[in-house]
Amino acid sequence: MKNLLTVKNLDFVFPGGDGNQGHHALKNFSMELKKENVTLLVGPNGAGKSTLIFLLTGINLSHSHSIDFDGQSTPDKKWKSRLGFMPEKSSLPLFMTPDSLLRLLFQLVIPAMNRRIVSRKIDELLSLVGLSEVSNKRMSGFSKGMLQRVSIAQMLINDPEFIVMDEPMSGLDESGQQLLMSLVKKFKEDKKTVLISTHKIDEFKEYADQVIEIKAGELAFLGDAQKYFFNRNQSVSV
Amino acid sequence: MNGIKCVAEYTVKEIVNEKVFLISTLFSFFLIGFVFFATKLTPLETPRVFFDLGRIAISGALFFFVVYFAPLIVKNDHENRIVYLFLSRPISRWEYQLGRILGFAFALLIFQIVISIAMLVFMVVVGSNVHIGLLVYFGFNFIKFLTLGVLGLLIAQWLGFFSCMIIMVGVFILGVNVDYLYQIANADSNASNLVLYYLSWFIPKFSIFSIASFATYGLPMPIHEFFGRLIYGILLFSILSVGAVVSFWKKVL
Repeated sequence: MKNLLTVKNLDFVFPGGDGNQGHHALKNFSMELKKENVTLLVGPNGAGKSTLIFLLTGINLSHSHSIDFDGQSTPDKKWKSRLGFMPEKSSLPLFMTPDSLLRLLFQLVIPAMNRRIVSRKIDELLSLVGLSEVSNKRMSGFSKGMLQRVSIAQMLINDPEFIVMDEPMSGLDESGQQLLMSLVKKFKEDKKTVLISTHKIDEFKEYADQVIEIKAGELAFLGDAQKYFFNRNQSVSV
Repeated sequence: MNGIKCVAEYTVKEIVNEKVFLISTLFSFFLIGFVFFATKLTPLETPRVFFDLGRIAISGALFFFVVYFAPLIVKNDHENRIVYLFLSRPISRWEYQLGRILGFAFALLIFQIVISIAMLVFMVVVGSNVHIGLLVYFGFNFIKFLTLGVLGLLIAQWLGFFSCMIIMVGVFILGVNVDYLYQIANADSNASNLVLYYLSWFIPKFSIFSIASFATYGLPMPIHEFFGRLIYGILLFSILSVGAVVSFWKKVL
């Protein structure tokens, strides 16, 4: 299977911190992300998972050209229009309603789309995440779980080919978690490329094809998910 | 262009939906109303006193607006992570930051128009001479505070909310004072004043936009004065905007 993303010898340093040298978040990091696979990105807090995600989604830019974005050296607009991203912590403007936020994002991502179609798509998305009844209420009164549901809806507006989720289970209640799992199942059936950064790896065990483990900014494991879980179980039993 | 428009539209909504926006608008109405009643108590020429005090009230309101909202929208970008929502979409960093600047400018313009209309209404009531010079005055006032706001958008990327506010206040006070020194130095060209003259060029000269005398008395403004100040304002705004865009482009989030 072809690679969607290839990272070769990537170094990424945050300026400031650790004296004048900055914080070395990723060190000589290499990985491949296969198309149509569900990949889990695991590792302890501060290992560099979010840093890697920000580089792959184009939020931060690596000027070393160490990442191949499906044949391109930079995450340009064409790349981003194929991407759906759900950040770890809520990054939603709380003064807006879910409807007005999705409308704004539709305008940004698919400006030529007919207004009636946009309205219909927004209704479908909000119904999918179970927020139809609060679609015109300000998000300032929403619980953490409801905000995560809005975050899921905004991730799906462009029917993305490549889906990146950073700690998606965080804040979700039982029904929210079930919704998320059913979505991951559907992504797998639809042959989408999915990257999930998570601490709750067992939850996604059933759907994972590949695992990438990062420790202290370095690649600790890259390979088949079954092999990873087998090795982990072995080490636990020993 | 679509990305810039979306971010600008979002920025206007973000500012207008802040409670502080409503409070500052109401407070500026209160200030103008207060000036109106205070003017009635003076034995001096009412229209002129009203204009002098009223424009101070408007400048105070605009000053508060830029010093509060410029650092606030940058803070929202970083602390509330709004920036992630946009930058993972088909939009370049420069488009995002330009959208932020234009949205900020548009929100400031809305604020300026609202409070200027309130002032014009009171001016008609007190019998002031409402003339085209006022439009020029309000226009230059807008450019002055927009320039200060963009400076805030630039420095807030690297400093905290309060540090940025303090620096903006400092730059404004310094800019006005240095400009007065420049005017003194210009009148007397001895060596020490020449140092002041050159020094003054490194500090934004906000008072160069002050055209209160033209506006108050409805005097015709010399064409070179008008275009000189306009070009200076646009140039300063453009330089700071480019600085804010480049700085954001290089920033690691």
